[in-house]
Parts: sequence; C-alpha cells; structure tokens
Amino acid sequence: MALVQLQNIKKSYQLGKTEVVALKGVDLTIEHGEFTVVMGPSGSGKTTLLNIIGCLDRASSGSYKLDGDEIGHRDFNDLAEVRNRKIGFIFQNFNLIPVLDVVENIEFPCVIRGEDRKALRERTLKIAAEVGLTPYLKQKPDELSGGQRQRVAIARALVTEPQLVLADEPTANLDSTTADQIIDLMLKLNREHGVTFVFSTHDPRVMEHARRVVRIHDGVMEDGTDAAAHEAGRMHAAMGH
Amino acid sequence: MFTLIRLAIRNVLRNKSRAAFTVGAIGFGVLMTLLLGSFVVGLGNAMVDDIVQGKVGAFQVHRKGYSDVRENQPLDLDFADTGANLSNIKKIHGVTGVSPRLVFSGMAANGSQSTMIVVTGIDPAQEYRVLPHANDFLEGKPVDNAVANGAIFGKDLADALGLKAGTGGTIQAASKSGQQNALDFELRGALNNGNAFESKRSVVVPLRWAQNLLGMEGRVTELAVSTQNREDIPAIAAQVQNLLGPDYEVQTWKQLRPNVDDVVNFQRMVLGAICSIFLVIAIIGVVNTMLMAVLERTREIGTMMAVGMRRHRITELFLWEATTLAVIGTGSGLAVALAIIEAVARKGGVPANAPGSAAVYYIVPAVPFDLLAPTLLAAFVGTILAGAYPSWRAARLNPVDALRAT
Ligand SMILES: Nc1ncnc2c1ncn2[C@@H]1O[C@H](COP(=O)(O)OP(=O)(O)OP(=O)(O)O)[C@@H](O)[C@H]1O
Ligand SMILES: [Mg+2]
Repeated sequence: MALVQLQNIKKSYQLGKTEVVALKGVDLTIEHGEFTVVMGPSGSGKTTLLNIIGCLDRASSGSYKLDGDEIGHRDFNDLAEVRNRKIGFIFQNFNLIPVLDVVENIEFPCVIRGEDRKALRERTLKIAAEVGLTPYLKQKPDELSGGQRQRVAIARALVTEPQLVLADEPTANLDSTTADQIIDLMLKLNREHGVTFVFSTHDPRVMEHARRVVRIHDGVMEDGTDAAAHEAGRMHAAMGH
Repeated sequence: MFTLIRLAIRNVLRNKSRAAFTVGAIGFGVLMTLLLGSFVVGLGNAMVDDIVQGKVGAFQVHRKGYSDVRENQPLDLDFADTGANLSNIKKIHGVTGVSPRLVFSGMAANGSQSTMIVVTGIDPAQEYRVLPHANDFLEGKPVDNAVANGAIFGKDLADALGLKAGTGGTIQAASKSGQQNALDFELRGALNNGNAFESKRSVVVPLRWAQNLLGMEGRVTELAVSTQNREDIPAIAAQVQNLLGPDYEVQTWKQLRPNVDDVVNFQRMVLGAICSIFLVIAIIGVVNTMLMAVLERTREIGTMMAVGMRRHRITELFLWEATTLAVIGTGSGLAVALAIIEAVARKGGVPANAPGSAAVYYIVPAVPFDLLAPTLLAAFVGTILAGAYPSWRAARLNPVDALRAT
C-alpha cells in the first residue's frame, strides 16, 4: 500500500471576496521509502501541497489517504496526533524554539507526547551524532549557523521515527555549499533509515540529487514523474519492508 | 507539565524588559494595596487606641437605662464606688484597671461670665491607669488628689472663660434632690484632644471634690474599665455583664463610639476602590504583554502545533506564562511592601491627623493581615484571568496561517 495517496486534491483560499485556487486537482502517489522532490516556481502551490500531505491543512475537495487512512474528516487533535506520530517537518526558516537548546529542540515532539526520558535521550544523542550536532548540544538556536539550525530541524523531524518527512524548501535560506550538505544528509538518512522524504524546492540544481521529481505549476501537477526513479523507490521500499 | 512550566518560565524571561514592566505593574498593585492597607490599619489602630486608651476605656458600666438618658448626665442612676462590684471586676482575668467616675452637668463661672459644662469626677490613680493616654494633649498638669479642687478644662472652654493654670472660679451644680451648690476650683491644665464638644464643654475634677459638691459621698455613675488585649474586650464585657446582673449595663467602646467603626470601614471602602484601580491597571498590563507574546510568537505556536502539540496544551503553556508573571509580580510586591511597612514601623510611624480631629497621632503601619490573602489572591487570579484570553487566542490559531506568519 502506498504511503501517500492523493486523488484529485483541490484547495482554494478565500482572500476577501476573491477565491485563490492554489491546487487544481492534484493526483500523487508516494511509496514508502521514496525521496520525492516537488519542483515548482514561487506561488505554484508547493507549500499548500506539503501542508495537506502533512495534515496541517485540509483539502477543499478530493481524497487523501495516509498509510491507508482517510485524513479528510479528522479533527484538530486527531491531526495533531497523526502529525506527531507519523510525520516530521523541516521548514525553510528552521522554526526552532528559541528558548530551548539543541537537545531540547530535538526532543520536543517526543516530550509533548510524554515519552520516557531516558530512552529518548539515548535516541536523541544518536541522531544528533548522525546529523553532526554532537559539539553543539547545549547551544541555543541563535548561537548556531543556518546549516546547523537546519540539522537540528532534521534531527527533530527524525527523532519521532516518522514514516514521512516533509521538507518545504529546506535549503532556500542556506548558501549553496551548506544547501548541498543538507541535501546529502537527507539523502543519506533516506537511504539508511528508509524514511520517506518529500522535498519541495524551486532550485533546479536540486534535480541532480533527486531520484524522483514531480513538477507543479499553477496548482497543477505536470506529469514529470521519472518512472525509473519511481520504480527505484518502489524497489527500495520493497526491500526495506 | 513540568516541561510546560519550564518552557513558560523561559518564555517569560525571554523579553526581560517587558517581563519587568508587567511584573512591575502587578507588583506595584500589590505593593500599593498592602502599603495603603497598612496605613489604614495603622490609622484605625491609632483612632481606636485614642478612644480605648485615651477617652472611654475598653468598656463602661452604668446602671440599667443610663445610656438612654446619658445626654442629661442623670445622677439618680448611681451606685457605690467601693465594694463587691468593683473588686470583682478587677479580679476578672484580662482586666487591667477599673476607674469609678461621677458624671454630671453644671455651670462654670469666672466671676463675670458662666457657661454650661459636663463634669467628670475621677480618681486619678485609677483613671490614668485605665486611660494612660488621657493626658496626651494636656497643656498643664493632670488631676491630682493632692490638689483637692484642681480641675482640667477643655481648651476652648478655658479660653472662653479666660482661665489660665493657677487661676480659678466656681463650679455650680444641682444635687439629686435639685438643690444648687457651688465650690471653688483651681485650673491645673487645658485639654485639647481634638474633640470639639469635649474642648468646649468638658471638665475633669477629683472624684472626692465632685462627690462633695453633689452631696454624693461614696457614689458614682460610671465605671471605665481597661483590658489587657483589645480582642478580649467583648468577652470580658459579657463576663462583667453576667457578674453584675440585669441592674447594670455594660457597653464596649464600639457601642459607645459607633462612628469610629464607621470611619474605619469607610477608609477600608476607599482603600478597596483604589486597590481595584491598581488591579485593573495590572491586568491591562498582563493582557497587553500576553497578546504581544502571542503575536510575536505566532510562527513558534504554528511550529509547536505542526510537531503535534494539542490546542489545550498551547493554552496551558500561555497560562503558565501568566502564572509565572503572577508569582513573580505578587511575590516581589509582597516582599517590598513588608520591607517598607517594617522599616516605617521601626521608625515609629508617620505623624498624621485623624479625620475630624486636630490631634496629631503617630500612625504606625501594620501588616494588614486580613487584606493579605484577598490582595494576593486577587492579583494572582486577576493575572491568570488576564492571560486567559491571549492564551485562548494562541490556541485558536490555524497552524498553516501561524506558520506563514513572519
Ligand atoms: N493562507 C492563504 N491564504 C490565501 N492565499 C494563499 C494562502 N496560502 C497560499 N495562498 C496562495 O496560494 C498559492 C500557492 O501558494 P503556496 O504558498 O502553496 O506556493 P509555493 O509554491 O509554496 O510558493 P513559494 O515558493 O513562494 O513558497 C499562492 O498564490 C498563494 O498566494
Ligand atoms: Mg512555499
């Protein structure tokens, strides 16, 4: 069963009296273990799409099944639970909690679900090491560089052991060297943990790294699916599960 | 929950100047309430002390029915100034003194003019034990048995008759049977205790001299009694009433001077109104601070929601922030207030005039214990209620919109 199944997803926003249609009927299927890049210019609907996949927002119409469950009619606390259990978020502007240090930021999603502290700390330190944060554990976000902050966000997204990590333009605020490092890190985590990644960007250079690219333009998904890459994702998923 | 509290404290301390301002507003409200309260208590104490220790005593004993006709200073409701009554009252635990008095009306004359007066005959040894502050505002010398006809006049009365210490005149009064009698007196002092009526009308003379003038040897019309503690007065008064039976009436200072209580209660009401204003100011400060925090941290709230924080936990977080402000604010206000009250009290208080009185009192501020709990509670609950609306606003945010905020 596919992890993400979007069918004819439409989303419109009411801006005063005018209606902005951000998604005009999107179909998208993402398998377990895939690394999917959503490519599109500014305003094309990437964030809207990722928000719907991430259960932060609900589609105006269409069907969304996450891991087989229909998401459309869940209430806020239900969705909060789904996000906490199944989804990790990485944002363009990092969105760390400024009063928490690196370890506390990473652990935050697990702490709010009341996880046992000792086991959590072990896992946190392991992930922090994996993303290269071990020397900065007690630092506050404003004492870190952009790349380091995004590593914290990545660790925070992974610590809950989610099925799906959504990264909305995670490299847009980074210089190109750092951006490359972050992309490499995410690819590595995808390979080693088998976590499914959806990565949005408007930077065409990212394509070099991507195994699967879907293009979105004006709220419409262009079928730019790289069939071979898609197949590779399927294979990977099949092996991992 | 522990995590939320820690997070809340850190969030409050994040913007130190704003936190200081808000805590200051709460603390100032608490401080002013307690300081004003301490002075109101101090002023009330001073007024009550003046009454209890300077004028009427803790309670008074008369023959039954005296209070209905007390304005006429009746002489026929009299009783013996010695004997079982007196010594039995003295024996009651907590009674520190009993002063027998003979109160009557008469005329004072200086040879050329005369005026109506109310005379109290006292035994100075007893009277000044019961009323240690009786002569706080005396110009001259107190009544003394060594000078058998030595009298104290109210200041205005002495001035009106042109009397000075050492000069004298006559006091004339009617005996029980209506027979007029007059005796010479010598002025020892003038009393200006701030009470207009007493200053114009009252005269204090030795008890023996008064009894002699009225032909009432061994008789009195009033006992003024003092007690160890002010709190015990009602209980001891009841005990004395019991002891003396239905032929006598016992009235406490509160019953004798009901307006003192009224004044004290009025002061408390004014205090309450002023303090409510301080509380409102503090609450506005808290609402403002918290709304700013919600506004500034919108994206952070969105982030917390994105990683799975439930709405009620967001509300809780902001309520804990309000609680933090409340704890620090009320705590610091309380600490500063106690320090100031203590310091002023140790210096002996501040001089002031009681309302409707020319007399100067030293107001010694006292911790207003009965105000303490309501003030702290009001500040505390007020702060948290003030945080409720911003907290609710934060929790109602839509995560997508919150994340889009700059
Ligand atoms: N909450 C909203 N209210 C109104 N219009 C919105 C809202 N969110 C998005 N839009 C509109 O929907 C369209 C798609 O926006 P979206 O943010 O999904 O694009 P994007 O591809 O993420 O763009 P960017 O690269 O700038 O992040 C845009 O026209 C945008 O103005
Ligand atoms: Mg976007």
